[in-house]
Parts: sequence; structure tokens; C-alpha cells
Amino acid sequence: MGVQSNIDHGGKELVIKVDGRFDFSAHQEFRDAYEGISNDVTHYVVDLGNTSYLDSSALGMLLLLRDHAGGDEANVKIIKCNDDVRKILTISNFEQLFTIQ
Amino acid sequence: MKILIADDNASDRLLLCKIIGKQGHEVVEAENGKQAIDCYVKDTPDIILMDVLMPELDGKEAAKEIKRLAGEDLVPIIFLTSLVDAQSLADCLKAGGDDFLTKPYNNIILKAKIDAFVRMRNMHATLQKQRDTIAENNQHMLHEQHVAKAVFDNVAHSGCLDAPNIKYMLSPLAVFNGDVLLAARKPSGGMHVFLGDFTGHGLPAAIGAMPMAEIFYGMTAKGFALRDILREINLKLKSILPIGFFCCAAVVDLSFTKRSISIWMGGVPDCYLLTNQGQTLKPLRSHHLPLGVLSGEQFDDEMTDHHMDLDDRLFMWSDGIVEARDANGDMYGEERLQQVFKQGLKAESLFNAIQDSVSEFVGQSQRDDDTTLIEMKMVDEAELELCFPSVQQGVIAGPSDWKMEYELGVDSLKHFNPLPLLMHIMMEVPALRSMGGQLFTVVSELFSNAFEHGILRLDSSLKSSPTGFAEYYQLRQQRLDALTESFIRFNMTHTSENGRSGIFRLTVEDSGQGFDYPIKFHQDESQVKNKFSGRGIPLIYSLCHSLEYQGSGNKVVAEIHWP
Amino acid sequence: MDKASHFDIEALTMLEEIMEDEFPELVKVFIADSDPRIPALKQAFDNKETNTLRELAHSFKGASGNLSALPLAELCFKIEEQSREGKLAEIEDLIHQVEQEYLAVKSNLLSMVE
Repeated sequence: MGVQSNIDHGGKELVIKVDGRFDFSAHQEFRDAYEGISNDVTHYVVDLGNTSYLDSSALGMLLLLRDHAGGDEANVKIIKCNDDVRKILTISNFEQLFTIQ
Repeated sequence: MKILIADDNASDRLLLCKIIGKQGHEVVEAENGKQAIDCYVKDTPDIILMDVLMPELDGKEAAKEIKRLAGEDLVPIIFLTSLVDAQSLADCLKAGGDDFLTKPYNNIILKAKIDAFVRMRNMHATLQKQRDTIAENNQHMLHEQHVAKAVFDNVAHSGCLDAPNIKYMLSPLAVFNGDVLLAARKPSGGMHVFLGDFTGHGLPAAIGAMPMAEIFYGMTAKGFALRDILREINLKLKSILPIGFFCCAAVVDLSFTKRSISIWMGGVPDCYLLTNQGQTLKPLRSHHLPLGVLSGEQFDDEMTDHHMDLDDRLFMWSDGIVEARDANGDMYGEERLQQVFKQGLKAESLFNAIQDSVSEFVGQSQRDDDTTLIEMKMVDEAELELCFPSVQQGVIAGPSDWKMEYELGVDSLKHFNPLPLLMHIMMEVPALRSMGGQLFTVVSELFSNAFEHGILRLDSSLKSSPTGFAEYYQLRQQRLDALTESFIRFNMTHTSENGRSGIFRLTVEDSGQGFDYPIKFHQDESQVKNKFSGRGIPLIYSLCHSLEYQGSGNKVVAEIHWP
Repeated sequence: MDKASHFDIEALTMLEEIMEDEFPELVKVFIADSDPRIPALKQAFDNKETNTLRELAHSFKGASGNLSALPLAELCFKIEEQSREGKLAEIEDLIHQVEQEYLAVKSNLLSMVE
């Protein structure tokens, strides 16, 4: 399990990549990835391409990121979900809050 | 430090006493193993220096006994020996010795060893103290958890989970796992069932569960509709839980008379509806965000309806079942769950079969008890009568037999909207609360008919064109300004049979001229439509048990029956 | 008297320093403990009690070592070893040597405290 992040597109987009199980153990790393970054960042991307599993505390972390990114005005994309991850996001109806690709 | 020196050799003892005394320690002497044990008990030394070969009882035997007596206390024993072979030294350590010192003594080494053991003793004492503190705190926390659980049980178990149509499985300390299971009978018949799963464990989950259970039971007992209860719970959780904490839930309104359920699901795994004598299995999927995520305006309370015949069953669970792990860390998964349903078992054995299947899968591996499961069966309401919770009588008792008359004069009609007041009075009756929307429509339509058509004599057909619409409201204002000597009189009565059923009668009379109306209504819609276009009467009629115009048409009586 | 051939002089000096005015007491206790050991060794040899021989020699070795009388301790160690292996042949001579060495140690110590 690991969280990597980097800023793209001329400093406007933060990409956070979560490998392996995305659960409470990733809590601190995930927060660190977006807290205290440059104010220029307006777009957020969570890359779950290498995420094998996602639990409800991960959903909570995504909500925290959304809140950090501006709540209802937030621009947060969740990309590359596998079927299992996608299903968990779907039953919680997270499409309503995030752009899921 | 107090140091015991056990040596049968007087000159050796004298020398050691001198060396150790010079290092600032207190010395106790023993001449053999037996004396050493006695001194240990009597003087409780901190460190023991012990000769291996002694008369009466040798050093190794004495060391074993002293270590046994010491139990968890650390009493370092340093063997004094002129033995040099490895086996003899190893035997000393095996007997419970912590170190050895070879003769002839070197006072520098002796000092270093004693200092090292003093440090070790201090560290051990600190560890023991911390361990005791932790154990005490843990004891304290467990006690608090049990008290908290008792408080929660008083709130949560005021419901009807033990009703004959429900089977459920819930860990005794589930509230600290974040799982909540609530069930309550509605005053108007039927049942509300709530399965919730908070994110996180421990206190944050338990804290959210308390107000949630309060709201659920309180509002159900007062007759509120499940949608309103959900909105209230969502709002409460949204306001008290930090962002990122929420409650996944499956919530059901069971109607035994209509043989149907309405279900709301947010963030929970598929529920299974088993119908057609156990032949048809239909998964119901979550379509909402969990409770406590969205604001009141964004919250979606839409529920889906499903028909259920007698003996049809609805199964709901928290994700603890699907995510239960075996010794290899593999998850139970939805496929295994579906498999249980495909075995062709009788409907009544399915609940136990699911339980067995999960516990067999989990085996002896760290069972985390985070598995909540409930089965609800469609039955005749009569089967539940016996278990109606008597403790709730105090809560649900509202006014049941009452009447009131309320008349508005001209001035009031011009400036005052009576609807909130009238609604408030009706909502005091528990059974009427669940029909709040329906009652509001009836009262507001009849009031506006009496006011706009009866008193102000406005023609609603004007409103059908955009220009007419403006004209209508212009005319309305003119006539309102010119209004003198008018009234509208509301008469409301409510009667109830043992709190099981009741009749609400609303009469609205105005001082206008009335209109031409048929003697009796029929459910023949075309007739109703033609005769009363513009008065919203078909709508009102569809919401009432009966609707009757009297006098010149300036008086209307609407009757609403419950359940 | 040739002190150096019977003691580790450096260790003996340190011992005196550690014991301060109790050094005479230490010498007294050592001699009181050790005097009976020579006849005891002889008797154990006569009775061919190798275990007793070994224990006596072991204890004598420890005590004389602590008094920095290393040659005496060395001789005691030889008796301990021989009796452990049950070889009585050389022991009679060793006991004789121990007696001689002990007498030298004793008179040396006594001369230090008088």
C-alpha cells in the first residue's frame, strides 16, 4: 500500500495515486498528499488504477478531499477504477459527488 | 539499593561487603542457600549476589526458589563463581541467574554489573507501572463501554426487533462496531426497520447511533412518515458527524395491510427480496448516498416500492457479512451469499443457512463479530398484535377524540394564513402525521376553494391563459380590498377506535353563494371532471374517504379514515 | 620474604586500598577459614573422598584468589581438577605443596598487618 502524488498541467492539477488496499491505514498519507499544497491547484484526480480494494473509511477520505477541494464546488475526478472498486463507489452513489471515469 | 550477598566463605563475603558498601549500597549477608531464601523474604533485597557452591542448599537451588517467590518482580541474581567451564556457567543461567561474576573479584567490573542491573530494575519497575496503568485504563474503558451500551440498549431496544416476523443477528457490542439495527411499529399499523453501518469503529460510531435511534423511535412513534424520519436523521448526522464520517443504511417501511414495502438504500450492499413462494430472488440495489453526507436540500428521500405476498421475505445485511474473512484473509463475498439462496432451501431455513455458511467460512479465524443480518417476513398484521410494545403508549398517546371550530372574519382573511395552525392541530394526532402531505393538500385546496371561489367569486378558468393569469390575480386583489362581512368556518373532528383506526372529518363553510353541485360523488372521473373543473376536486376526492357538498355548495365535508 | 612469588602485588595493593582499616580483619578471617582446610584436605585424601577433596579445593581456590594469592589458587585448582578426574596419584604431593604455599602466604599476610 502506498500513496503517491504529483502536480500536473502547469501546477493546476493534483494527481493522487493509491496502490493496493485503500483503507484506514492510508489515512495519514492520503491527507498529506493534498494538505498544504499550492493554492494554484484547482483540479484533483484520484487514480485508483492500482487499488485492489476500497473500504468505507476510504469513502470517508474521499469526502474529506472533496471538502478540502471546495465541497459542492469541488472538481474531483476518480479515474481507472476496477470493477470491485467501481461497485463500492456505485452502491454509495458517489457518482453524485465525484466525476468517476 | 539493598544487595544480598550469599557466600559461605567468610573472607569472600567480607571482601564483597566492603566493595559494595563502598559503592553506596546497603548490604545483607547470608552464609548458605537456605539463609539466602530467608533473607530474600525478610529483607526484600533489590539485587542478589550468590555463590554457586554452598552448604545446606546450593546457589542454583536457592536461585530457583527465589525466582519462584519473586513472580513478576525482577530480582536480578548474579552468581559468584570460580567455575570456568561453559557448561557450569550455562547451568547457572538456566537456574534463573541473570549474570555471573568470576573470582577473583574485580571491583570495577562488579560495579559496572551492579549499575547495569540497577538500570534494568528501574526500567522493569517503570514498565510494570505502565502495564498496570494500561490494564487499569483498559478495565475502565471496558466498564464505560458497558455502561454506554446499557444506555444505548435503553434507546435502541425500545423497538420491536423481537416481533415474530423478524429474525436478526447482531453482535452484542455491535454499537461499537458501528452497526445499528432498529425496528418500530407505526401507530397507524405497519413497521419501520432500520439497518445502519457507521464508518469507523468505537466511539465515533456509537455517538452517531444514539441520536439516530432517538429520532427513529421518537418520530416513528409520533406517526411521521419514513421519508421525514430519514430527512431528519440525515440532517442530524450531517450536523454532528465530522466530514468523512457517515452512516450507510437500508431503511424499510413495511405495510402489512397493503402487502408492500418501501425501501431506501444508501451505501449498503444489495438487499435480497425473496418472493413467489421462495422461487424468485430479486436483488435490491442502493441508489443513494449514505446518511450524513448531503445537506438537507440535496438529500434525496426517494423510496422504491415492492409488492410482497404473505411469507415473502426481505433480507438485509451490513457489509460485515460480505467482508467477513477466513484464516487466509479471503473475503466471504457476494457470490457465496448468493450460493446459499441457490441451494433450493426452504425459505424459513435461509436465515440460519446464511449464518452457518458465514461462520463455517470464517472458521476459527479471528471472528470480528461485525456481521449484522436481518430477515423480515410479510405477515398479517394480526400476527403482530401481541407484541405491540406497551411501553410506547406514553409516547404515542396524542389527542384522539376531539373537535374544534375555527372561524376567520374579514380582517383575518385579508392578512392571515390559517393553514399552519390547522396543520399543527392535526399533527398532534400521531396517526395523522404520516398523512401530513395528503391532509395539507385537502385542507389547502378546500380553503382556497372557499376563499377564492366561494367568497371572492373568482373564475379559475381565467388562469388558463398567460394574460388571464395576471388578470386573475389583479381581480383577486381588487375584490380582497373591497371585501366586507365575510367568514370562513373550519370544523374539525377526530374520533378513534382504541387507537387502531380513526376518522378525521373536516368541514369548511364560507359566507359565499355556493355553487351547483351533484348530490353524490362517484368514482366516475369524467363526471367529476366536467362538473368541477377548476376546483381541484378530483384531486381532493382521490385523497379522501368521502367528500360531500352541502347547503348551496358553500359547505363541504371531507372525511379521511386511517389506517 | 619474597612477596612477589606468592601474590599478585598489584591486586594485593588494590585490596589493601579497598579494605582500608578492615584489611587486618580480612586477613584474620581468611586465616581462620583456611587453617582448618589443610588437615581437612589431608583427611579427605586418606579417606579417598574425591568429592570432598574437590569441594574443599574449589572453595580454597576462590578464597585465596580473592586475596590475590594466585600461586596458591593455582595449586588448589590442580587438586580440584585431579580429584574431578579421580586421579589420586599426584594429589598427595599437591596437598604438600599447598601446605607449604599457604604457610608462606599466611606469614606474608601476617607480616603486613602486624
